[in-house]
Amino acid sequence: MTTLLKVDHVSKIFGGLKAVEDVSMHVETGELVALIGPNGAGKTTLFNALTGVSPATEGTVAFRVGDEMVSLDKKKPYQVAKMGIARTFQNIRLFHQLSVRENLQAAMTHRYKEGFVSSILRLPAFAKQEALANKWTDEILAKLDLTDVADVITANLPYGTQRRIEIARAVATDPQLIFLDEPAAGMNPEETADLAHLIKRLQTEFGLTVVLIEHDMSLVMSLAERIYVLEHGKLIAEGTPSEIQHNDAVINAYLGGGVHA
Amino acid sequence: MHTVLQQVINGLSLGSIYALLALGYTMVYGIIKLINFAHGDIYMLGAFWGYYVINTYHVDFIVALLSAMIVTALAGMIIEYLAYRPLRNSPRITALITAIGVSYFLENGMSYLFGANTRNFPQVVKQHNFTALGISISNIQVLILVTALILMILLQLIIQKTKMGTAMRAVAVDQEAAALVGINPDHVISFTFGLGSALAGAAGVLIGLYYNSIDPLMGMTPGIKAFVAAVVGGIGSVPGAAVGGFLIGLLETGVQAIGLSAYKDAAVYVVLILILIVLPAGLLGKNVKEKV
Repeated sequence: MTTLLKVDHVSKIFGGLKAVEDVSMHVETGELVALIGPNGAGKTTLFNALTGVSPATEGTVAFRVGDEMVSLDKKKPYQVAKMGIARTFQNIRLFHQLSVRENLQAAMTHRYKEGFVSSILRLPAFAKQEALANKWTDEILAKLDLTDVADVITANLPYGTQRRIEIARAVATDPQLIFLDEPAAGMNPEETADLAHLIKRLQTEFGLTVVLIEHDMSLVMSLAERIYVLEHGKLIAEGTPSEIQHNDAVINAYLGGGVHA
Repeated sequence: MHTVLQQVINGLSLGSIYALLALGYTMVYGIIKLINFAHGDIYMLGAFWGYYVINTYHVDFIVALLSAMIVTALAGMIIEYLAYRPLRNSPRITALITAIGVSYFLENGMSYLFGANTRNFPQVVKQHNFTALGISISNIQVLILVTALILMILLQLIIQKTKMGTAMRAVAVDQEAAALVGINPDHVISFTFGLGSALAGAAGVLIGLYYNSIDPLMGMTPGIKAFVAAVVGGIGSVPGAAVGGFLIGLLETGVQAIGLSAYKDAAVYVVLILILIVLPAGLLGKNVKEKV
């Protein structure tokens, strides 16, 4: 396996608060990795640092482009997205007044060129690009079972569907790596089961590398190949699901001292 | 009846100018929540550019219009780059005050460089009046209406059908989420300023033809009226700005027609106050629910 993402000694400091402290981790191509930890452990802050939203105070992040590792440290969010990292949000942040199809197409703008003049005059070059974008969109819609709602304004759709659209929009950027920030939050068990199946498909069918932040432990344990545990901004454990389940530091972090599950 | 119809025609002509201006206000507001008070002065620049190319190079109306749109689009993008972009993460009030500063800068800069006197806009299109059923309509009025409608249709096509339009709508909803799906917000914002300014430039040339006179302060009052039009239509809403522009034009000519010319500006501001009290989101405004 090759390393897709390498995080080296990353810290994020807000004033006097060390939200993330000296975190090093790596993600291999094709892996499904989970990042867990109690509320406020710094998981989303770490995602924000990795995607350029709120750059790390210290440390470096590198991402594989072809054969070399490229630093993400000075990259803006749109550049990170273009390089092949997509993400979803803890609280859904779709383009609410746009239809499902338009949400996906907004995520594809960097994937094709479209001349201003040719699009105004609707020249053949424009028609060709438009057909291509429509084809990509239709494929994703079909795979994520969203074809029926393609032209509905996303604000009018149920919560579970909006979650799926967010994943579809992330897929539309044509990423190699996808960060999912608590995708199961607010879902009932049935929806969570569907989601687990979808996340697995992202890895197998779409060929994506997945990093998952999640509180639903049954979901994490059944999906993740490797787990990182963050507490108070520091990594306290790393390992396979069974290793993590028996790790004393993790049990302490979640349940307080002296309890064994 | 004739008088009413006559005033409707006059109102629609004037209204299409306001609508073109209001579109720029509303688009910029929609995307970065800035009331760009320098927008009326872009319209003045458009009128001066038209004056300059027609007098110097004796170009026809179409060339004057298109070149004015290009020049004002560039001016809008340069202003955004120099004045507003450095304030992207500042409080909104900072950008607003900067916009007022830019407005004064353009007005006084033009007065200083070219003189504050009023000049006659060259009549590149000879005026003819058509009279039918007792209603008189000039070819210039037709030209204004047709040009404005074409530009509005083009704008709607750009916003709804092109990649950049989709990106604009995405950035308007959530700039950060848009960046995270690969959209460069700076490009989109710059494009929006260019597009809005081009419409203002076109409006400047059209008003030159209609009123025959231009001066460096000509953008102040129409700028504020177009802002009112954008608020009436629902600021941030593109169709709303067009509707608001026509309504304000009709109102203003209506007030003049009933003999209250002296109060035509006051009437517009009364409408602003009423709308803000009764319907703060405007006629076609988005039903904004602040999420907690």
